[in-house]
Amino acid sequence: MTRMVRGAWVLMASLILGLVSVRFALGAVDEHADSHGDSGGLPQLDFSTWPTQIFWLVVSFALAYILMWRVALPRIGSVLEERHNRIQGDLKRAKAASENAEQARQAFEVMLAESREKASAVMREATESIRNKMERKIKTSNASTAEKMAEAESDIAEAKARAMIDVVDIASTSAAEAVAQLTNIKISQADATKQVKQINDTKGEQNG
Amino acid sequence: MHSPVEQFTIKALLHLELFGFDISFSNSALFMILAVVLSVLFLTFAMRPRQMVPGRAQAMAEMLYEFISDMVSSNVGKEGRPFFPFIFTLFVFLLFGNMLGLIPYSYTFTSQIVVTFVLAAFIFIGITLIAIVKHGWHFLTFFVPPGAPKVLIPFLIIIEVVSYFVRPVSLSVRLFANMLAGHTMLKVFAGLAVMITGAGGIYAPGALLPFLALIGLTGLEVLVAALQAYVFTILTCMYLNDALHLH
Repeated sequence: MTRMVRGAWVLMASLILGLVSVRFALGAVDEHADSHGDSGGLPQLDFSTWPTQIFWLVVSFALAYILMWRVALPRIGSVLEERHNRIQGDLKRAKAASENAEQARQAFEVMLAESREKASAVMREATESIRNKMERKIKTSNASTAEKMAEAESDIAEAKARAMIDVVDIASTSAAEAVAQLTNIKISQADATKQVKQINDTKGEQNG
Repeated sequence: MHSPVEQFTIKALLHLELFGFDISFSNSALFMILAVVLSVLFLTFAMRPRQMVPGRAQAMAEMLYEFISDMVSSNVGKEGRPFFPFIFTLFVFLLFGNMLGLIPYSYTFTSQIVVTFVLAAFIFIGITLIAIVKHGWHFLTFFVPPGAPKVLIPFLIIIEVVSYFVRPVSLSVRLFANMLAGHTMLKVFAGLAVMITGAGGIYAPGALLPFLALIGLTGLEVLVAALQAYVFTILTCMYLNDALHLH
């Protein structure tokens, strides 16, 4: 870069030297134009004014270049760079903040899922224990009911059997007596009982 | 009646001489120095607040900076960065020169072919030297268009060489001719308005016509002043790009 800048100065100097030699070559033309004076031609083609214009162009442009290069441009450039850095810094911070927020959200979600799971586990446990308790209660109550029923049934059967024996006894006795009174035939108690039982059974069969 | 080109006359304000040359401080020199001083002062004072959020003047200075910065980076690329101060100076110098010239009674130094030609020649020689320093003999391949049929190459080289050496001429004449024509036209219309008014009587209101045209033309010249500074600068960027990257 500095080599280029130095080159530019060398170039500028050589240009001035070149124009000096051109000036000498145009010397004759110059005098010619001067002798004409303001004859209404284009002032741009009045060569006598060229050296002063070139001189002041070189001076003012060089001045402008140095002032821009050394004074004006660095000021603007530094302000722009400062702003650029500031914006980049802000963007970086915003990005970091958004990343933090994202992390917090993820942590929260993990926590939420965990507690949800815990809650459902507690629920499951509670349901199970309640169900177990109820089943146990139902089982015990069923068992006692069946016991009582069986007891009652055996009582009923016993009473029935006892009643049956009594009925057969009365019937056979009264049947034997009735036969003895009517026909004077004595029938043994056993035969009467056998007969009554047979009749009773057939009746029971008929009655269903 | 004055000639419409009389406005371009160089008037010495202070007679100076150096090695036998007349280097008088003229009206042209005054406006060159004025352009430099005003542009540097504007940029410096506009940037004085150094605000993070720029005010109007600071925003203008920054826009100017970024405009040229973008122009250089998009037309020349990264290698063009060292030339940014030069390109910036060139644009601002021409812009202020053209704009100051539009102020009545001022002088437009860019309407002088010698000024535009010296600038263009400096740019042309400088860019050619940069190309030679950077590419050496390889620079000569610039005059051979890539992918051209072999038979046509001799003719194409001639065309390329001629078009290359015409660059400083076209660059300088474009700016000079635009300024010359614009300012001459303004003077002609203004002169016409004055002349018709001078005729007096019933003709006098007719002066309104060239006067209205003058207003329109002034607006157009403001556009031309900015546009020609831009064209000169962007062409310089393109030539620089050619020199740095050849094809």
